[in-house]
Amino acid sequence: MALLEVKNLTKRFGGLVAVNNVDFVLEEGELVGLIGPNGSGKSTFFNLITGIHSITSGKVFYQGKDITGLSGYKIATKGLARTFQATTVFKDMTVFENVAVSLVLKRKASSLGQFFNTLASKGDEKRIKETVLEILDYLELINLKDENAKNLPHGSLKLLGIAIAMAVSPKLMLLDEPLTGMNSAESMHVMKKIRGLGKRGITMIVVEHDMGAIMSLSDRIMVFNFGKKIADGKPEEIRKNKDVIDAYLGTERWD
Amino acid sequence: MIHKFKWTRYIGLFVLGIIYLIVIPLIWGHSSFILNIAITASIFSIAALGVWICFKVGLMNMGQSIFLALGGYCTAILSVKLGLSFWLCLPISGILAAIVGLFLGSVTRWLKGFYFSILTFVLNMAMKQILMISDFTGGASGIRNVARPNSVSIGGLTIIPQFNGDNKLPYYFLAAVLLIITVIVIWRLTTCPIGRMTDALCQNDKLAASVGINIVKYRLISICTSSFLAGISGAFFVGYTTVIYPITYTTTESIYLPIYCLFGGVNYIIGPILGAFFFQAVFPFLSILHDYQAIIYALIMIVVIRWLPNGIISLRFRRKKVAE
Repeated sequence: MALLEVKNLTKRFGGLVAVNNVDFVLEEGELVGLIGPNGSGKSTFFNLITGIHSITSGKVFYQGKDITGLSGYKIATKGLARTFQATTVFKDMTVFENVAVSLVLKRKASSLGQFFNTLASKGDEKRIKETVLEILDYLELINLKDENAKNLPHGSLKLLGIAIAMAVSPKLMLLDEPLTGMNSAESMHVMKKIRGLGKRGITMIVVEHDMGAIMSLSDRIMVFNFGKKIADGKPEEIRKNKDVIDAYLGTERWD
Repeated sequence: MIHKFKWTRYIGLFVLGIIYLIVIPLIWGHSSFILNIAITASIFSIAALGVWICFKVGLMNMGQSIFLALGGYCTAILSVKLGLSFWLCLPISGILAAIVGLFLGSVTRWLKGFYFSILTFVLNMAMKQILMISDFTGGASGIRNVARPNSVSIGGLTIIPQFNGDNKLPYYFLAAVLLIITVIVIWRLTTCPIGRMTDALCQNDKLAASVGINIVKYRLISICTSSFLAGISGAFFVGYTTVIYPITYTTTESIYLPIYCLFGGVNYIIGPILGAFFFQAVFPFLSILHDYQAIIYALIMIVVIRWLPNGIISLRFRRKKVAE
């Protein structure tokens, strides 16, 4: 059974078709790169799967179950996490608090229990603290843990975004341009961490513009253009695919 | 991070509490005028704290008067028509207001902040009309002769005296106790995990939802708590003044309560309390300048928003920064 299956997924914003009849199957353990020119519908595709936008037509199946149109927070409970294109973190909290608050799904105590600080709630706090330190340690952010998020440099903010997504204990992670704005040293670091996530058994779809990174990271690459999926295959095939080359360079140039 | 209760940080508050509970009654216990200001300020602080909780989930509640009226009328009707004791009416009014708040919050759960404010404001205006024409609530004449809080004795010992209209001290202490309990409960709410999740929700709701925070649930918890506090406040006032009319709580109060929060500072619990006490203390003096009242309030707000956007409380932190 495929981990994620998308059938005829379409999203219309009024007259604009942002995602056009996309079919896609994702097996567990894969790392699929998603590339395409700006505005080709990659982020919208993520938003449709994670319930941020409503779906115009089509279906999304996760672990065989229909999750089409499921609201934002329920997606996380299924084990689906994502990072955002912009440096989206909780800016008025420290790095530690950012990840701690994202571990909400690990809490066993009810709201009432949290209010009265019952034993269950105390246990939650202890486990959450340990998990936060584990995640920050993995991403090598641990020495920044008490730093205010708004003071962080760009690269660390992107890593924090990944830490927040990891807090959901996802089986499937959607990474939206995790390498944007990074220098080559930072990119190598993040790519190493992403590969590490793959080794931990997390299936991933990664949107990126850095072709070198995508070619080296991905088992498979999917290409979008004007909301349509125009290619889907191994990196070597995609590199030679005429439609893909046309999409990026434009047909006129070959005259 | 768990907030540890550091006694030293709160010494100032304890001293304030002692001054309020012991010193002020000793000096001004006979002054009906001063006590009235303090009582009204305390209770409006509670209602303002309700509005403050809504700010904490990114909502500006412009309809707190609805729940003040609900609480007041609930107590008035239960007291006059069923003869229920004030002490029973008080929590019942709060719970009724909370239930209505839950309903209101549920039907508006998809509304973005701005539209929520407009809707609550419009409902507020509609409420006055409904109260005017409804026989059940006494129409335009409202309800009068509501029983004051009765005495409570256990085993022959009177622990709570009979409240009457001449001596305001019992009301003063009751209002203070209610405010203190409210502050403790709200403080706990904001420092426990619930508070941190609402912080996250307020800072970035898309991100919060993506990690599994149920936005609607926390909005509802906040709206219910806010309404409950307003219900209690309305109940207190009707036990204090023994009357309630459709015009007792209008859009004016709904506008002032958020102003108290913004004036005092939305970042700290003490903000709405500072705001309420400041304006209640200033009202009697400004009523002399009746015609210019509105202009003066507007000027105060402009000054605060321009130079102290985090409210009056931010003065304390400014001095600290300069010292360093």
